[in-house]
Amino acid sequence: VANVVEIIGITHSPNMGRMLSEPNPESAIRKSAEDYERMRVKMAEAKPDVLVVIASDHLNQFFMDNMPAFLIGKAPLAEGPFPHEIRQHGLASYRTRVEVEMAKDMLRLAPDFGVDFSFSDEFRIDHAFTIPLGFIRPEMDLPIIPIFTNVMAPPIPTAKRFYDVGRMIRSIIEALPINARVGVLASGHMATELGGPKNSRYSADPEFDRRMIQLIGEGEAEEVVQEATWDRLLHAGNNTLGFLNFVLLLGVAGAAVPSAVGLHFPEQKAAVPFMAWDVNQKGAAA
Amino acid sequence: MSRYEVDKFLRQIIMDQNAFSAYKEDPQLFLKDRALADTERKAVLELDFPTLYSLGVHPFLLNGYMGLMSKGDRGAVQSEFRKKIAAFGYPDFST
Repeated sequence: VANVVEIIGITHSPNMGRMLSEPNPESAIRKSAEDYERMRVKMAEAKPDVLVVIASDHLNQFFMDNMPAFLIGKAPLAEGPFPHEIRQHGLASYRTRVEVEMAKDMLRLAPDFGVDFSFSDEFRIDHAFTIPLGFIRPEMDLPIIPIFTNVMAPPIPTAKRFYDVGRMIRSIIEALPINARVGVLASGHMATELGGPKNSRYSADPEFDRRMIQLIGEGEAEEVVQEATWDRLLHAGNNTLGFLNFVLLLGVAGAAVPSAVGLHFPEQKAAVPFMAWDVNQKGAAA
Repeated sequence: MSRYEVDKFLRQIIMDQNAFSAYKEDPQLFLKDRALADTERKAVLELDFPTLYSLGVHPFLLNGYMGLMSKGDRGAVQSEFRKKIAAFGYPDFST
């Protein structure tokens, strides 16, 4: 059987790399770096064979001519980010294999669990995938199953749907007809705003950020789902819909209290969240 | 919906350097056969970012477009933009 061995959620802010490599970082940045390193170690110690990675796409691979809500990538190779993202943000590349047979099995099983994923045999992953993967698995040696979510182009599925799809993903993984240790990595962010009236250099809504991380820390997934409405997310900052990938992760974690969770507020950047659930690490899953 | 056409145009010049060069070379020609509404076409050509925002152009793409087209102090451009759009709140940006 396949077992989930570690569940981790971190941000994909394109500033992260530059921010963490500053020569004299402020305390919040130093702590972010330490906590992201802790997340890397957690995933490494769980010894996963494969990573299921839940992330969005910033209208790069998928656009309003053809917009999937939830999509599993099953091309043999996942590579990114896009050239214009590298030009704009100086991002590092990431390239790894896709576990194609497992992706196909997930697609085949999914309808029985209540979700009809779209799929793609040809795609690039954008910074939403490459940045968290760069932190959590810099070796680029693990195959992944990329799951794309639409958090960019309305209508966007509700928080309830993200949560339920997370629960279904967990059940689908555990129903796979293979032996594998599976790490789950979600890429999202807290309150952020781009191209809107709030200043994008800071958390767009620290109150939202603190409240949500507190609820996640208490395992109050249902409360998160209730509060993370379209209006609340939009008014927390017009790019805050990316938080929904963490809501999906709460579903994967089965509303459990996380093993580690936290939030840092660098002075001139969006908030830096992290969350992890250690699962079955002593089990004989492999 | 022509809002889609504006988003499509913005995405193209953000992602594709050749398209961006062609647009800079002759903006009117680049937009000639695109189904933009007159208000949208005018706002695009005049770099009227606040009007584009009020029309519900996707804010993520609009942010990228401002980055490409703004000259000089990017912070000042952003600050001016934020002041001008404050009254618009969060317009519907669905297509």
